[in-house]
Amino acid sequence: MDIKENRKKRLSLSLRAKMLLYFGIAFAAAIAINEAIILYGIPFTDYHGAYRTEQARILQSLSDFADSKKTELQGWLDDRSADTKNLTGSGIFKAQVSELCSFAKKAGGTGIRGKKLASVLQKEKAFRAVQQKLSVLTQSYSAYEKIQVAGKNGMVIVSTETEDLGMDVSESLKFRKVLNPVIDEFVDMEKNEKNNKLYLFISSSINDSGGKPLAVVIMYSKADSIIEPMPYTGSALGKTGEVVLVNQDSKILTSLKYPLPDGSFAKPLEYINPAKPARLSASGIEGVLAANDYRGKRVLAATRYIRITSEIGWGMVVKIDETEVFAPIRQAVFFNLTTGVVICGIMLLVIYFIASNLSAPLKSLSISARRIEEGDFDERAHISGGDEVGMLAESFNSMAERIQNWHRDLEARVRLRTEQLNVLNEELSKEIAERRLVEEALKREKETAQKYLDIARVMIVVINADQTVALINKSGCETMGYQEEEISGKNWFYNFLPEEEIAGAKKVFGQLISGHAEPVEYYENRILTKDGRERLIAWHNAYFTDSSGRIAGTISSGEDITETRILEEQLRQSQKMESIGQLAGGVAHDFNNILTAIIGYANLMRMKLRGDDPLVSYVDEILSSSESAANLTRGLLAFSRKQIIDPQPVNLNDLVRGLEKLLRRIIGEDIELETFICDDELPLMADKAQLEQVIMNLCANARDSMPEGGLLTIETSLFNADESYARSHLFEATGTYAVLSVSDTGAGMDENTKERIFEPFFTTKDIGRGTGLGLSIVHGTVKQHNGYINVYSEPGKGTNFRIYFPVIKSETALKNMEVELLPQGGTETILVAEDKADVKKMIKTFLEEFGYEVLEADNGEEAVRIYAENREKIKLALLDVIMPKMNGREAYEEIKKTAPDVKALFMSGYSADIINRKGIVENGLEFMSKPVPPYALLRRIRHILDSERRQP
Amino acid sequence: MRPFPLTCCIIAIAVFCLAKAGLAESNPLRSPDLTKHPLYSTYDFGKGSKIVNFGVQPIAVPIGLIGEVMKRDRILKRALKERGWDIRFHAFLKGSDLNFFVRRGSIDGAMAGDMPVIMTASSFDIVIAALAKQGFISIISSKHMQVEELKNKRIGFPAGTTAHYGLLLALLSGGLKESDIIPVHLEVNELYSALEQGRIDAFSAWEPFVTAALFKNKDLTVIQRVLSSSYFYFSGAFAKKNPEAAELIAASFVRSLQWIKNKEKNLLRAARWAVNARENMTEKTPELSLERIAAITKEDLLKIASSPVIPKRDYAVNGFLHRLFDSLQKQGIIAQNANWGKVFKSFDREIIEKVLADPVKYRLLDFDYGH
Repeated sequence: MDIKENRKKRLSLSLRAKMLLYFGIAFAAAIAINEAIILYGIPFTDYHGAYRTEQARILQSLSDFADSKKTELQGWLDDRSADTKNLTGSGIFKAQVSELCSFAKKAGGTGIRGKKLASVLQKEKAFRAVQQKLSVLTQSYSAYEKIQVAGKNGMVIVSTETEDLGMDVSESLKFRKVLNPVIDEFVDMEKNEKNNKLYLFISSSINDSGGKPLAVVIMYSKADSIIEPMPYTGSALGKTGEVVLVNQDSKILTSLKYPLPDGSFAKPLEYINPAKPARLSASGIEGVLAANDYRGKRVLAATRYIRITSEIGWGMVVKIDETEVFAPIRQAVFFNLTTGVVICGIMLLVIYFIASNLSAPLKSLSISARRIEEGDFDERAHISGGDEVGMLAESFNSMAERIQNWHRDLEARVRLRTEQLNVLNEELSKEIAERRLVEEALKREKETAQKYLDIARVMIVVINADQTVALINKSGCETMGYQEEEISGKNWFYNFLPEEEIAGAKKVFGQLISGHAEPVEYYENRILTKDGRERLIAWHNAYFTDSSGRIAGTISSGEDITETRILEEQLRQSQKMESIGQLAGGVAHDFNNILTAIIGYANLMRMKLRGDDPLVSYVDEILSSSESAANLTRGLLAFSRKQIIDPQPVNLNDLVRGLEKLLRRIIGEDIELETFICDDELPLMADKAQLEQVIMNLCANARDSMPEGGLLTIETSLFNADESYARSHLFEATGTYAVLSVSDTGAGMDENTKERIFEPFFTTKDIGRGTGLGLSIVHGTVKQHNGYINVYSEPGKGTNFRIYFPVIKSETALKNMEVELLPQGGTETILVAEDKADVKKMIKTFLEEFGYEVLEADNGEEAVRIYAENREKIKLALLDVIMPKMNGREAYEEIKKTAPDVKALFMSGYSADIINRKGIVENGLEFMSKPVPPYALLRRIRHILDSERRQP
Repeated sequence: MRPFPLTCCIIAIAVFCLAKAGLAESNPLRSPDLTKHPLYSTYDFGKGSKIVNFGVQPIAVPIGLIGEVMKRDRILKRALKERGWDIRFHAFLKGSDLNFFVRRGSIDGAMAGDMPVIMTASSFDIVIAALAKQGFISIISSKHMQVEELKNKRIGFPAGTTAHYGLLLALLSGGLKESDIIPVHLEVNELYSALEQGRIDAFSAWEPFVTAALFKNKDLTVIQRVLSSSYFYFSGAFAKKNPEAAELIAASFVRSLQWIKNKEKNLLRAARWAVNARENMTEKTPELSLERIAAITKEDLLKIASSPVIPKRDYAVNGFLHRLFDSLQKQGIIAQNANWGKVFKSFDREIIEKVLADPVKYRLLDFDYGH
């Protein structure tokens, strides 16, 4: 908004106009306040104003008038009452009426009634006397229209109007009400249907000396002549003054002065006056009020109630229109206002001239100021005199002179400065153009550098001396999972490194910053990614300097070596196990050879010795110890994957299901076993007995880690090892694997223990409580089945073994598998020859559980004898190879002499290598290594029994 | 530690409880226990025996006169005695006091103004048999004003009385409620002095206190006058159990009216009896002469003496008693669960009409009064 507009707003009214306006408002307010005070008084003082004073005065006069009217009307009614009482109380009158009544009664007895009886009565002296008395009363007071006397039967026997004689009034209230001597008077109004005129009547009984009613006097007053004049106000109430009479039901008793709002005239005893003053007066409330009357006009009114009887009363309203009451006041107000306006006008005219005179020099000064403002610096104000305005004009002219001088000086300076600025502008333009070229070159260079950084496959991180990240490339962001802006500017060490790495990394950073870069050129540390994982990064570090040559920060390129490091570790472990395996295998092989010699010679010795030779027992001990040694070598051979396996299609799920019952016995009651078998088929090509051994070894191991009890969980699942998984876990092939997971809630292992658990003879158990070969056998067996084993364990939390076996897909194999995997018993009789009582007892119990009948023998000789005794019955001989007195092979040969078709199954703790030497395996005889897995034994027995092929 | 808030709370609660208790006790419409009243506690109601207890108000004109005449009615006493009854008259200062004993079953019959009668009928079984008075209640002030100007003014009146009724109707006519004024509850004989001392701006009272006040101070102004009635009534239990006794007492009431009406001398005698009774009760001499009391009686009583039968329009639906009932109920003076139907049924003209129909049997025109 410019100055002119501001001025327009500020100076919208001139000084003269303002003076006129302010004075005008002040005069108008003064007049209005003055009038308001005159009319409505001053609050909280005794001066109530003209309106209220006049209203109070009028109400008081209305009240006085109403009282006088009420007294007048009440007095008139009292007079009528007194007339009635005088008449009915007169002894002569009573006697005359009594006589007439007696005559009428007699005449009535003769059948004369009605008008005829009336004409007869008129001839009586008493009638004339009574009628004369009544006539005198009506003529003297002019208050009565007529007076009747009715007999007890209701017939009018005397009346001032002869046509009424003989009339029957017995049904009317005015007659019936007063027949009771206690009720001496009844007053009301009624309309005569014949002449349509209103009458007020008073009835009273004429009683005999005993107080009993003789007749009834009814005195009628015409309302027209008596009641109507009552409300007449004359000039007392002004032009609009009126007195309205209503009965107890608010029906008007007299004609109204004005027509109703619809223009009609209300009829007495028909029109109900609804106005508030009439209602109040009819309900017995006396007072004064300002309200609307029957026309709806505002009136001041006084109300009164005139009691006639307990049931009848009249309301009286004395009223006057407010317009008439306040007309003088309004005239006075009009006069005052007119006068005020005229005076105000004159005053304003005077003010106008004064204001014009005062404002003229100021206006001239204002015009001069405006011209100067518009640029006319030669303009000067007119000096009108030596007063304040003249002095102001002089000062103004002096100020204008100085402004003109300043203006000239300023213009000269501006011209000079403008020329200088033009020169500078040209120089600046050139500089800007040059700088733009440099900036574009820098920009291109920066973009190129950024591209280099982004295509680098390693992380590049630039850290300022204050440890904040100055730059990180695309690869760095991807490795860490952040956007660049989430990293830039933040402290590298406290935001992106694990806590335990901070100190070391800061030390390296400190060395770099202090210029000692060489010792820490390479450094490895873990970093934190956005999702909370840790990555191991190998850094190559250097520092960089600023333009002044001071070290400003570090620049590092980092390679994520997390997976590489894991693979290295796994490879190292694998190689270690391979080496141990080779070593153990070599030792076992040589040891077997040694055992072969020991056993061979021991057997020879035994054969040479007589049965009662005391050395026989020593030889047997040698053979027994040799069997223990054979067990050890068997374990080592299993670990070194040199055991004989018999791969068959096996469903891992069925295998676990079948073992569940046996496993529960192995782990004992304190440990809870849960199995989760997956819905997918898990067909493997494996030696079932070996796999059972694996599961049992793992479970036995878990049991030993939970001496206080716990939870053992066996779970199977199907797992697809993709390329990355295979690579990161050193799997030789990708593909689908059946996973066997065995978990316990036992003591768990630390990292050192975990690394060595598969080593032969490594054990954490007490001396003599384990061979240290259980997990070695597991490892060897898994490897021999081309499987993989992972161990997850934490001290105090438990251990989880996950074994991965490659899955086969042949449908035939699966079908075979379904048939074979179910262990089946039978009812045949089996001879079991075993020198070790506990082993023999276990086998017997197990076979009997599956329906077989078992005959026992402690050695070879006993076996031959028992077979001979039960040749027909025995279908299979289960023979331990090494037994006292006669070994298994010898016993078999002996039996075969009498039963060439005998079926036999050999078992021994010696390894396959040793057994081979004994000529069992080579000869195609059935053989199982000890310890014999029970279900494998069952299946082998069933297989042999069902086989048609005769054994050699 | 600052005990201030706790102390304040305790004080506030205590003040509230005391104020509430004080208000409850000071509520003039809640009848206090009048059995310990210095005057009423001396009354022997002869409970249990065949005694009719009749309540009168000697300080009220004109019903005070009727009570005094009935008290001396030998015909009534003889008639009751013949039937094994005795009758006792007990004087009360105002209708609300009288009705306290009606509700207790101590008083069997009485005369009182419209407000106490309607309030009693709304919660207690009574039979309102006859009209005993029709006069004006007046609102008096020291300066002229309209009813609307009573707003926020201090107005004195005896609570629960016919003066209270008159004030309520007057306020209603001016579009005001009781809550629009500052009510000052005083006994009727205290009103004039309170106005004179400037403790109140106006008061509402019945006769003869209005006439007495205007007589003593000519500058007083009647702001409004409201027609009010007094009624003759019985306790419901008494009227229903003893209809004959009730009729005899009603006959005595009519006879008293007749006797007073018959001669000026009788009227003056009745006025003297009432003045004496008042002096005995209040130990105060009345400000008005016997003649003035007689004039008031004439005005309020004798003009309706032609028939004491209660006009039906008094208690008709939307009649002034019904409107009064509604107004009292709206203002909480009558209980919200009270209903007009019960009050309406209390009006029973049968007794008085039966008596009026047979003046000979009930000896309405025979008079025998003692001194």
